[in-house]
Amino acid sequence: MGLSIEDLRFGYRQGQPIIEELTTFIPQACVTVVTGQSGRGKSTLLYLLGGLLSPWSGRVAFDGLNITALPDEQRSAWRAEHCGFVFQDANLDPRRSVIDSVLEPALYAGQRKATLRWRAKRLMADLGVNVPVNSRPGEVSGGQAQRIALARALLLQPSVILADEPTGNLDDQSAGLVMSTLRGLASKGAMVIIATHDHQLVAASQHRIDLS
Amino acid sequence: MKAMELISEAWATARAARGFTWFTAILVTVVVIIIQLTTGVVEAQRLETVALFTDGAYRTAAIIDNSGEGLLVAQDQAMTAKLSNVETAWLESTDFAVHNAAMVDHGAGSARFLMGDWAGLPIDLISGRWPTSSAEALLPVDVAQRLGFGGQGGAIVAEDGRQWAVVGHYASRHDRAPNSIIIPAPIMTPQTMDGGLGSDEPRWHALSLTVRELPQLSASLALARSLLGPVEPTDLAIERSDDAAGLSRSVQSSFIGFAEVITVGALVAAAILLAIVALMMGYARRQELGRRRALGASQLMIVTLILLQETEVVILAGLAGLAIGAGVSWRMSGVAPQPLAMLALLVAVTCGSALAQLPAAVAAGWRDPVRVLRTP
Repeated sequence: MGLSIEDLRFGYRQGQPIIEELTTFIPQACVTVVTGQSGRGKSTLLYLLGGLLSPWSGRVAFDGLNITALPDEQRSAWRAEHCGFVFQDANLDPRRSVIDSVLEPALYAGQRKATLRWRAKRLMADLGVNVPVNSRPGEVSGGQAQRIALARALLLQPSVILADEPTGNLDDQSAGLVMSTLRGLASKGAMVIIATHDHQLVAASQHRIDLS
Repeated sequence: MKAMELISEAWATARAARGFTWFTAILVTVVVIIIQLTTGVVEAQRLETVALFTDGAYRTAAIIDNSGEGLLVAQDQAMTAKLSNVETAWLESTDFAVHNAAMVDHGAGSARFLMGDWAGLPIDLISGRWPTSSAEALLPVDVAQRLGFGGQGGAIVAEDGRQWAVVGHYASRHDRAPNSIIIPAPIMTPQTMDGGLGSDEPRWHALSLTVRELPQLSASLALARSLLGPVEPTDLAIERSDDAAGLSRSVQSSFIGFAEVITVGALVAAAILLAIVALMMGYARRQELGRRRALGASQLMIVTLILLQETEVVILAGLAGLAIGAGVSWRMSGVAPQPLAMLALLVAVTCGSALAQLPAAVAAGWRDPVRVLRTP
């Protein structure tokens, strides 16, 4: 059980691959970090694993399912059901309430928002987001916004969590809370994959993919 | 994605995208109002034109006997009047001079014998009564004044001494209606009913007919003409507004063409504006759309969401425009809005806006989400 990566090759420009012939296996129920200098493809690998990018060659398989071969409709459905994305900046919609942001993945997974509202509120409370649910992202701190984004990623209890520098913009306390949450999820069976420069995160991880 | 959830999400997004939503809504409302007003005014003018061309003068024509040989006989009037499309038909004799029997020096007028259904003639009785015998005459109001017939009564006299009592005054409804002193034709004898010219039958000069609808005039004239039997082509002449039907069609098609040009022009201009706005909106929302893709929205879902969002706004704005436009149009031109036309306009505007925004929606759906997410 996990994500298997075979001979993965990808680049944004013709003839200039960023990721070359990458073959590895990411097990479930552990925190995997993706490390490397800037521009070596850490975030790109996350997007490839999430099916947002199609590799030049090679494949990414989730529990035997070749994600890279799926058409967009099925790949998106797989992503909605199995993946949770956490971006470096929280990437919340500034015009919508925070509870709307947390509930957003339900829309793409074909689930009713109303039935998930209680879970969204509980997640926010568990992550220490103590703001009114109708607040706008502009009314909350950066740390709280990132925790709201984490709540959004966890709403549908995904088996794969892809986090791109999730603690990059956070103070130590907020970073510690986010990391303990991610570790807790891994311990419950989730596959947590983090692209990071943070040495503390690297030290605390159980599995590492180095793109240097 | 459930349909209701999608509709709800589209509406929430439309509300969130205030500037673009208001611009789209105002644009659509204005366009619909412009089209409503234009079509309302044009429809009012078209109806006026239709009414004008249904005037009796355009629906009336006369077959004139140029030969002077008595080609027209009494039974021609009876047969023509029975034609299905003919509203009324009447025969008029040649003119003969008359004057006021009491005021010889008060000017002269011309009189005609007339055969037909007097109540169906395109004239209005202004005073007095209809003549009931060939000893009575009816005068046009202006002729009555000219000959010195101030009130009721009096008589007119012909040069040969024949005399008729004046029983009333009338007004013509249009230029082709009788407009001289008219006298009921003498009762025909069996001899004259056979088509001959008995001593009592006047010499008929013109057979006039009025059809029920303008397009029927040519066919009815041809039919009436054929009832007269074989005659030399030059012996009979037709007097009518020859181009009335064509002119009517031409004017109506001009009005409709004008409305179509305005409508299509407004729709095309609005579609171009909407397409540009949609492109701008797709670009402004690229971060949001990239995030949606990352969270599980497919390309098709993004396209659907954008189109649905715009369609909801267009429908609401279109309804508002229809309501305002119909009200103003009704006040301005008095033409009641047609529900089917309004529905057609709403459908056209909705489909047109969806088509206009489709390229931008597809571009947004197929935009590489990663490039967007990596470019703040």
